[in-house]
Amino acid sequence: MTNNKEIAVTHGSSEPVTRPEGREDQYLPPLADIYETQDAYVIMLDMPGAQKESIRVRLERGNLTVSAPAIGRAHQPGTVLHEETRGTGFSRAFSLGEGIDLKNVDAHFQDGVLTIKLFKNEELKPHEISIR
Amino acid sequence: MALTVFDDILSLEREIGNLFQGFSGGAVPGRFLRSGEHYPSVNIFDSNEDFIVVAEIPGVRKEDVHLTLDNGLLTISGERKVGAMPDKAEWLRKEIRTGSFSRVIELPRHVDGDRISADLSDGILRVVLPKAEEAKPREVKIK
Repeated sequence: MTNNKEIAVTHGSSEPVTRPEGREDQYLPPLADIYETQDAYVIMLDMPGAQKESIRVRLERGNLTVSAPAIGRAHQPGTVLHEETRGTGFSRAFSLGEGIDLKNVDAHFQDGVLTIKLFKNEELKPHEISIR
Repeated sequence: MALTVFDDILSLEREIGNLFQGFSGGAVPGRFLRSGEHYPSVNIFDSNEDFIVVAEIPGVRKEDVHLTLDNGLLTISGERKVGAMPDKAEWLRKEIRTGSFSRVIELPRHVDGDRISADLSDGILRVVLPKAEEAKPREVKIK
């Protein structure tokens, strides 16, 4: 009982925690998983609390940029007793190599995870050469 | 032709990334999770009526989360399952942690255990723990 609790809020009306200046506006790079298949690259980004309508995915000059505005995603009205989340918005950019079909990009958002699928151009896909 | 590789270009990200050390469990060391940091991140709020516990658990399905309240300890546990990968897929980057997690939070004493509610939306778990009557702030009239 004494050692298994990690967070203890001992007072019903604790003093609010003090936050570093400017923390409210911090944009955090979302954690990313990326895998490659024969015909595509798939990027998954953890963006808990982001709103699907306000997520921006941009492809420009060989860069892929993903952002979501700061909306206080993990916050509630009332006194803050304990705070671990960092940043209120998300922003991250990737540079893309050649061979991606920029006109064929698929993105969807589910359970706080944004999944972007970038399809390869024909020349990047593996080809089987038949022997004459 | 050389394989296409993704590179981060955001200098802000590099600066932030330098602040954090790697964690075990991924094929590529994660640069954004602070060493010793608990997962998931939890915030706790006090409205006049309720205590509200908020946890960030993206990628976790509702049926894979368990909440228990025992003797004033709220336990949030669950599992983030690995999504199915297509055949012949290859990881280029692995920062997201999967597997089981658990956090234990000691609540202030007076919580009405029968009226706890929780919802999970877009990766944010929100647990509302109504205060028991005797714990609510009240105004005392001066006679």
